[in-house]
Amino acid sequence: MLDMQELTKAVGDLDEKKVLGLLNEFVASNPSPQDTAMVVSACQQGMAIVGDLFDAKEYFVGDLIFAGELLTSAIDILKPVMGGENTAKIGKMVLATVQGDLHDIGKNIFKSMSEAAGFEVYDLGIDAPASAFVEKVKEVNPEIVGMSGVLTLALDSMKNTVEALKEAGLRDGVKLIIGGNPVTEEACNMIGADAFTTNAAEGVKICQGWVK
Amino acid sequence: MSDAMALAQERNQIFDDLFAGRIPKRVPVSVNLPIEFCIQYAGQDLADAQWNTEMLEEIFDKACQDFASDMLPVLAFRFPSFYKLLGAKNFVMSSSGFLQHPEVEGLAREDYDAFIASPFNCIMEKILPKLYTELDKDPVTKAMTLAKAFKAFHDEMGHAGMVYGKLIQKYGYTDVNLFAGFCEAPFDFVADQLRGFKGISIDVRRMPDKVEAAAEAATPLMIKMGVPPVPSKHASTFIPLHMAPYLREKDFAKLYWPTFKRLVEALAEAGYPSFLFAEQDWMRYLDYLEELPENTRIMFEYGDPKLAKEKIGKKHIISGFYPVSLLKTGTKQQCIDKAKELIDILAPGGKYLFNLDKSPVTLDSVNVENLQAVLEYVSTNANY
Amino acid sequence: MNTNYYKTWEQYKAEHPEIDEKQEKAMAGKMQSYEEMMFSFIMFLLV
Repeated sequence: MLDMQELTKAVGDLDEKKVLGLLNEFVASNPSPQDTAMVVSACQQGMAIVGDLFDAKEYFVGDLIFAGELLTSAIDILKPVMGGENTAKIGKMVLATVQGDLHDIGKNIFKSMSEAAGFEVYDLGIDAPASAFVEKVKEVNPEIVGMSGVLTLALDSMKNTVEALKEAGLRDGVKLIIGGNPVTEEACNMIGADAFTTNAAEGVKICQGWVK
Repeated sequence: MSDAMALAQERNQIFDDLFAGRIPKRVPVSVNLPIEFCIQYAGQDLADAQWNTEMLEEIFDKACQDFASDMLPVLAFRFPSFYKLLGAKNFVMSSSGFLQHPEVEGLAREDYDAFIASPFNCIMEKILPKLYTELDKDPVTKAMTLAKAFKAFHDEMGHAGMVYGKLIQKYGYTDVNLFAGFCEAPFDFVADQLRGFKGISIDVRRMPDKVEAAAEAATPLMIKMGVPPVPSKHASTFIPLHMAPYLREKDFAKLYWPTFKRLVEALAEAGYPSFLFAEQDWMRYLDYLEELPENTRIMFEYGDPKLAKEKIGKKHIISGFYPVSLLKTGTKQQCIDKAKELIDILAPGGKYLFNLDKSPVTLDSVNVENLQAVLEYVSTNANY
Repeated sequence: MNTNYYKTWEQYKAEHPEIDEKQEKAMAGKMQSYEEMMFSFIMFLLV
């Protein structure tokens, strides 16, 4: 059985070679789904360390992006030995960069960190109109809707999206978080979102709090 | 002498003093209002005015009338015409009428070696066709597309240049042009449109040697690009800096800094000072910036103005730091107080040019009256 | 620059032995200016 602490530490260190080496070895041992679930959890704890190091300004945005990539590779290796129950998610989230805005770097970081934390994320991409949010929310019934944007005009689109969700009678069934350069507490109130953040790691923590 | 000419003379003197390290008569004021801001301010349609650029003179004139600045306060250099002709993926007009820069990958990971061997061959053969769909066609179509786009580019740039010239004369602005040349830090060049933010972040971890060699290979291109066509002591090469704040210092020191430093030094040696936009927070890197040739012009976005003044204020010319966000949310008095505060910190001893921390991209990113009040305040009250 | 797509005047001249000294004096500056313009345009497309 592989050393969970060692794995968690290697993920936290973003030591890709070591992480993938450990996981390949683990998968070769033909593990049970229960063991695999523990390994996934060890990886998630490693990602929490990455988030902490980011807060401590030891890691920077580039490192977060790499962490997301590392986690994707890790899950790919583990997939063949995951049982059905391992895919149990802590919650569902509909996420997009709002209409009029084409920036997606921040959204993608938030997405990979949310997935690492156990969310099932439905990503509508960029320049997403309010109607796309409404349709997807109807379809998948998520706990959380995330809206991202870099331009100031994104704030208006976020507001429009919230209005559209209200009109469709969906607003009260979800928690709304907005993220990106222009978001502030004031903007959050104006838009009618439940939370705002300019820090992906913090945003994920807020979302985790909502589904606990 | 006309009023405008007298003003221009006074302003040129202020900038001569600024650049020579003498204390000018007063703190020079600049602001960069981008094309989108100006179009919205003039009440015109974004898409319409960016395509029909003959509308720009009136649009820019209005901004010049209403926002105090010693330097031409308007700037446009990306136009949808040539990007559209080329089928650009890297600059796309969104539904809102803003020309935006989606994340792209012009250079595939497996093409690093081709880029390192001959960057310009790789650009022509591999990168352009990946970023511009109309250049990914048969050779004849490609040649015709490139001809159309080149013509459009020169039409737009030529027209804009003519408008700038008229406005500089009309309003008596200084002839100082901080945007006379344009290039990027070699690492940023490799990152921004070649590998993309995500791609480069992964490469920095997985194949740092290739990243280093690619930045090295890009350096002569950036030096060549950065030398402005018309030499003048009032011309700077604009280098917007991007990726450094997102890197660990260890990676910055090895992969970003050496080629960037060489670029700024080479431009300085050729007689062209650089005007750097230090996007995000560069306080971690002030000691590096201190190494650059004297009188490098640096506009900061975020960080601690006191620390910047203390560490590099004697050597370089600092600007920026004024939070655009405050212009949106603050009262007029708060906005003016902030300007006072920054002037108190940054003006002593000279080498300070007033500017905002970034360009207000859209009209609604500021309260216009606050912006006008601040520019007016600094123009009339920041005397030495 | 190590490339097939940008030539200095000297490189161009070496490939065009038909250009005599008198012509060269008249044309070199203009010919090279287009080379430079195309280089600048291409590079602009990548920043």
